[in-house]
Amino acid sequence: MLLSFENLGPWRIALGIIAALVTAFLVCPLVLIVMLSFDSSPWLVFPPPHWTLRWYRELFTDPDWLGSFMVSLEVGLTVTVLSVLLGLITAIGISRTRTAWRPACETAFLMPMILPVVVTAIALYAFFLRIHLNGTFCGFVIAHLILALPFSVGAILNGLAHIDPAIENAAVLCGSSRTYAIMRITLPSLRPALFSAAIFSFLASWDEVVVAIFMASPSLQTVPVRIWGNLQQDLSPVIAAVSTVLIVLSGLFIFGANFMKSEKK
Amino acid sequence: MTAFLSIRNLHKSYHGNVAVQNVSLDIRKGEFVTFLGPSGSGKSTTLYVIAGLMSPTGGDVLVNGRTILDVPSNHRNIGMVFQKYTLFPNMTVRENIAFPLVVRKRPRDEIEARTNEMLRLVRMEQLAGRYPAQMSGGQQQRVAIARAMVYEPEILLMDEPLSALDKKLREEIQGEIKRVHERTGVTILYVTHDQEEALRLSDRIILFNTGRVEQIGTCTDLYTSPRSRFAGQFLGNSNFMPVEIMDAAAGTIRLPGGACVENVRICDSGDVDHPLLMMRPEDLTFRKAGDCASSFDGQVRSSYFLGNVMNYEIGIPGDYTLTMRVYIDGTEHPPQTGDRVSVGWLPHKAIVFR
Repeated sequence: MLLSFENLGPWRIALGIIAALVTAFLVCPLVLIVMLSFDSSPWLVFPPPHWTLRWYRELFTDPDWLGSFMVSLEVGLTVTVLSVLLGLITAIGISRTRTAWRPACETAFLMPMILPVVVTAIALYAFFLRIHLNGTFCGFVIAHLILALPFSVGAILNGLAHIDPAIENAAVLCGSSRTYAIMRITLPSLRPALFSAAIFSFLASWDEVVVAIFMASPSLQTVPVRIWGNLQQDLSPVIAAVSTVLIVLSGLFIFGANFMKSEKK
Repeated sequence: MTAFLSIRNLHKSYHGNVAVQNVSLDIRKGEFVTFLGPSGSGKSTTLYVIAGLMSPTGGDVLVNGRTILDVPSNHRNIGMVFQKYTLFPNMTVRENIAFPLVVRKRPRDEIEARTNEMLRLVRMEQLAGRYPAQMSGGQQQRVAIARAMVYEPEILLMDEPLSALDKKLREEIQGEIKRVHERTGVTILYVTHDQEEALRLSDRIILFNTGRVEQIGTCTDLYTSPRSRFAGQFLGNSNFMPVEIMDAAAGTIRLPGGACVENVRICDSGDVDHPLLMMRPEDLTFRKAGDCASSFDGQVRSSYFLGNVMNYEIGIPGDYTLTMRVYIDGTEHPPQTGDRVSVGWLPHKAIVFR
């Protein structure tokens, strides 16, 4: 290889320093928020005068926060399941269209990813007002599904591109029905793509604020919405505790996903 | 001839492009038939229509006199080996071969026995537990043949199955295919653009060109009696030279130099504007100068050695080049580049297309 670490000579040190600086830049804010969550001062003083677990106690005894976690999880998981199923059907449909409509279809399904989220949010809000879906779980799921689908369709289309349709044809000639061939031959080969479709779909819903703010009601608030609301009212260190919990959860999630991926190989 | 598989006036066009036009064929049970032709000549499309993976825009495909066009692919009982590697990546060799029987819900011990039999047939018993990704292309295609044969289909379709393999491996698997054909007596339709492969394998060759059937015949038929310039050119290399026909009944022609020759076969081919004389390189021999009318005087432009034969390029008056292939028996001194030579040819072996 032309640019290999071994051949860099003295530049290795420079590269190491740059890498350290970049890492610090990325990690410092996270470290700060984690430290603040253990800060005894209610005014977010840094460095913390004393350490405490008080904010975590408040967080885990507050039914509003716990409720928000449940809402986030329920919306996220429902969106994930629907997004993967619909994404799979859509992607198979698109990948097998041999007409001039194919690029148009693909663009249409990837549109919500390109469109400013605020635009999508306002449009959905106005529309849902008319059909009385505002502030409902169903409306929440539909809104997030629209944001998640492009990721799912994209990931599965990419996966399908690596699968030769001749393999499925071979299964059909072997006597299998088209549906059975898809279930038994195409889907297993598609497993990694379905897996990343699920992860991206879940994350698209889990950490989404803009659309969620429009969809939320006092009794239906996801974690990011509640964080946003609390930030505007009072800046309590409970928010630092929530953030820390989110960081840990996301870390575990990504770690678990990578672990499962490497298990499969 | 009792036709087992008949194709009647098959027509296929898509997006306004005609891929197959008016193809009609009759194939006997147990025959090994090759669809030979350049790429885009309609041979693969015809095969895909028989497999049911494409539907024709016109015409019919009959097996034992009954149309199969209304039968879905998975009920046609046709085996197929594809150009690309199509083993199921999530299954082992054994599971791949057993798949058609599992789908047919055959009893477990029958599946076991048939799968073993197929593994033996293609000599893959040692690798039964491997996954496709762990095998070479040649091994994968052998398993694909076994999978296509395990349910004893009456027809086996092969779409350039060896085109991705190197020459040595290709010849080895050609032998394997030949053996499978002899042992099982299955009717094989084999698509290839490789004339050598077609000659080596088939009972009959169906020559395709621009979506039509150019000629049907045994290998020797096609080689010795091509009915068009395309056929003469595609199968074996040939020398072509414009001539004038003096007397079609007697086969008298006049060569570019002015000499007249009798007894040449005249063939109505329809794909030439001007009468064209075709001579096979191996039908040309060195002569003493002025030996007979049917000879050309020329000069050796280049020669190369091909083991037991020499290949010569001879320049003759009129700026034509003749390719000739001559057996070297070691007793004579072969002509060298630059030597003046006289090349004789056999009028009764040559053909004039008009």
